Amino acid sequence: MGATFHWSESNHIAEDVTDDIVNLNFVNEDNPQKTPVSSYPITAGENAYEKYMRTKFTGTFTEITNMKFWKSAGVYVTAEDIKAAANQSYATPVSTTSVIATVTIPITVGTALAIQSTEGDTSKITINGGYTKYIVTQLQTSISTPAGPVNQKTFTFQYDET
Amino acid sequence: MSTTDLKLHWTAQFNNGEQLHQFDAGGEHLFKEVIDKQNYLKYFALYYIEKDIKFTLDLKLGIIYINKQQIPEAELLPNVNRKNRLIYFRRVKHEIGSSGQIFNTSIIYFLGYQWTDNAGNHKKIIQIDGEGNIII
Repeated sequence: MGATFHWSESNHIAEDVTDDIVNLNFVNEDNPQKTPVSSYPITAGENAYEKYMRTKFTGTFTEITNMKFWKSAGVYVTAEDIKAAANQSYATPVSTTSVIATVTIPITVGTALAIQSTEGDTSKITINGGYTKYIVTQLQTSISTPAGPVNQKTFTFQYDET
Repeated sequence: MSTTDLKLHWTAQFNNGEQLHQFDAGGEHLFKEVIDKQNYLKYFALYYIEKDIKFTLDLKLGIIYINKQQIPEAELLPNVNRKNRLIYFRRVKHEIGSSGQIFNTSIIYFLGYQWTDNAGNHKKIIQIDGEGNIII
C-alpha cells in the first residue's frame, strides 16, 4: 500500500482545513474546490484569493523525502501569472496582491519549489505521517488580461518514498 | 486521497536465509526493517506480480537480475571486497488541476546500490516504471 497522499487546502480566518481537495481552482472567494470557476470570476486587474495548500501523508511508509512542487502544464493567457511561495505559515488568504506569494511559480522539476515537512528534520516526513508546510499560490491578472476562461493548469507534487 | 497502487512489491533475503516480504499475513512491513538489518542483507528484489517479473539485486556482488537474467549495463566486475549499500525508493508524482479536474499519479521505482572507495561515493541504479519497463 505505501503512503496515502492527500492534497489539503486551508481557508478563512479560523483556518478551516479541507483534506482531499480535488482541484486547485483559483476564484474570487476564499473557499476550496469552487466549481465551475466561471461562477466565481476574477475581474481583469484583480487577483484570485490566495491558496494556502499543503500535502499530507498517512498510511505505511518509512520516509518521505525530496519533496517538490511546480506547475507542470498549462499556458498563461495575456497578463496572467501565478505567483507562489513555499514553506509558509498560515495566514488568512487575501485577494489583494499577495505579499507572500511573490515569485512566478516554477515550471520545471529542476527549478521546483523544495517543500519542507513540519518535523524537527524538515527534509523528511517520517513514519508517523503528517502535513508539509504551506505552499501559497495566487493567480494574478492585469487590465490587459482578456475576458473569458483561462487555460487549465496542472500542478505536480513529487517526492521520494521508502 | 490517493492510495498509491503499488505494482512492484519488495522482498528481502538475509545471509541467514531469513526472508522479509513487504506484504505478508501480518500486513505491510516497513522498509526500515530492511535497512535496520542491511549488514546482513543478501538479496533485495522488486516483484511485479501481475507480469511475473522479478528484479533482484545481489548486494554482495553488485549484480541486478531480471528473472535470473543478469542486466549487463548495471553490472560492474563483481568485487566481493566492496561494501555495497542498498538503494531503493519510489519516486511518486501527484497532479492536481485548476479550471478542471486533473488527478494523475505515477511511480518510478529506483533500485540499486552504492559504495565508497578512495575515489569517492559511487552509485549504480536502475529505474523501473509502473509497467515494469527499465530505464538504465
